[in-house]
Amino acid sequence: MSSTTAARTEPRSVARAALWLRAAFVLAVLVLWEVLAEVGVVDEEFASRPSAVFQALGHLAVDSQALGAAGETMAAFLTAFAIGTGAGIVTGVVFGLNRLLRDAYFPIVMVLMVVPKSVFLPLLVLFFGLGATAGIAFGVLLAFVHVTVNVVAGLDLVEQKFYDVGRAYGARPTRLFLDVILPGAAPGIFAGIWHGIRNGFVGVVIAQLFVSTNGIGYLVRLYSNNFQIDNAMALTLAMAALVILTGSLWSRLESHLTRWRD
Amino acid sequence: MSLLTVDNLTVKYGVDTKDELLACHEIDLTIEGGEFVTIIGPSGCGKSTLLHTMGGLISPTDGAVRFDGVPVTKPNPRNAAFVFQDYSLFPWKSVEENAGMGLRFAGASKAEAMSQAKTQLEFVGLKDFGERYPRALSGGMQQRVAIARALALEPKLLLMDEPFGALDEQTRRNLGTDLSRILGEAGQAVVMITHSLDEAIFWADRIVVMSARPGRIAEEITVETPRPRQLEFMTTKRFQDLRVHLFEQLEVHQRDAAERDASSSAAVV
Ligand SMILES: Nc1ncnc2c1ncn2[C@@H]1O[C@H](COP(=O)(O)OP(=O)(O)OP(=O)(O)O)[C@@H](O)[C@H]1O
Ligand SMILES: [Mg+2]
Repeated sequence: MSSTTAARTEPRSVARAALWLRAAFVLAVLVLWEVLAEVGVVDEEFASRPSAVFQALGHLAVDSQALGAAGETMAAFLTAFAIGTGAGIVTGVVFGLNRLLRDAYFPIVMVLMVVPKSVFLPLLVLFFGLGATAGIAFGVLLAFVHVTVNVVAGLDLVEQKFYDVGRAYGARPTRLFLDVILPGAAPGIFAGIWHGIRNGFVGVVIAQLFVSTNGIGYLVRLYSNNFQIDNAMALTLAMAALVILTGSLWSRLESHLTRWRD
Repeated sequence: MSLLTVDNLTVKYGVDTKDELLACHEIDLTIEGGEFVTIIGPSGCGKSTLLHTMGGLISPTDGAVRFDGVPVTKPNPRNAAFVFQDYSLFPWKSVEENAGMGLRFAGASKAEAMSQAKTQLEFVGLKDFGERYPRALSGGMQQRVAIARALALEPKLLLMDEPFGALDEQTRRNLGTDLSRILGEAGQAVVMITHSLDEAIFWADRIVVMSARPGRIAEEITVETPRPRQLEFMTTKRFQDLRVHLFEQLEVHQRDAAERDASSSAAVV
């Protein structure tokens, strides 16, 4: 790593201090919560307590129903992510390259972007029923919209001067696409893929939480309705951890792939 | 036969719109093989437009550009290769890939492009920097890469649009003396736009002075002193006389432009 990088990014010591502060805060919240539950200020019936949640996490880790649900959610997420992101990248690239198609259809995507997408949930249930498909469809919808918008923005950021060089040296469209447009738009495309991961997951889980009868989301709903708050919270915690882990893995991969930037 | 001829060239932007603008007006110019021609003129007078038309990036509204007698209709980098003012290196490609990119675009195989890139990088004095990314290079070094990218096509003509415009005085001068050797050895004809009087004289076999927009050729001056020249050339009487003459010419054209702009805005009011 070059010295300029070190100068621009925050010093290691600051990053470490921030991590400690964050950990201390989370720990303080957990301790406070535990104490309040212990002395009865917080009703354990509705809010559980950290020790119970961690215990529940241990049980659920070997519980076949929970593991099955996790598998269902994972499969639905991967499907939704793959379809939504793939379609979004292709659509975004087409919009980025073709003025007519962009003017014709991009406004529709923008409308989908601004309306609360949950209004489509009942429709999707009517279409696909209460099974896994509705959840996947909702994840696809969310991922597609966000990926498309980001990829279009990425292509817009490719500077005119790079196209000029291509033209001056007689580049054919495929060469121009592979060597100039794709790498030039990479920041936007990577941002798009991350939005695809996040929104694919959010879409699948929301659908499972509110309408479907499968996956982790459904299980959280079930536990909540049965006042098994510790179980519900344990699942929520596990999902949050998974998302955080995926996010940090992704940002590592991304900075490796765009290491020419800094 | 001349290498390149510009014949009664007129270029307009936005033809048949209310923003129609006459950028170049009835320009005649010839470039001989191996010749170094500099173009100087007031800002906005149509220098870049002329250069881009010579290289096939812009189509003439009227008149013609011929290379080896054949009308130029689109860029052909093996005839005339561009070096842009802002380097225009691809930040996501290594220096070596950048140097080979012109050839790649022109249809050469990856192997051929890379081996030429290595040769040209060595030629411009950057052989140890091939693995780096452009951001790690100074402006002067980046411009050398852009020149290597153009030279890799072994073009008969280099078209350079203010190639040193973004560099400081010292870097310009060093790069300048280096490049006069490099380009002398490579044997290309060069057309170079510059805003620097010193550069315009120091480099040129011939200086083309353009008038304010719409750009016409106001004067062509031949500089007989053989190239490559030593820096001492800049202290000779011939150089100083030329410098004073060019300075006065540009003043006149600049004043013309200012007066015309003033009267046209007065007319609008
Ligand atoms: N793509 C374009 N569309 C419309 N007008 C343009 C375009 N490019 C240039 N012009 C106009 O044409 C005129 C000549 O521009 P050109 O860039 O050729 O000038 P120049 O001599 O290179 O100026 P400079 O010294 O500032 O680089 C200017 O008035 C400019 O505003
Ligand atoms: Mg210009």
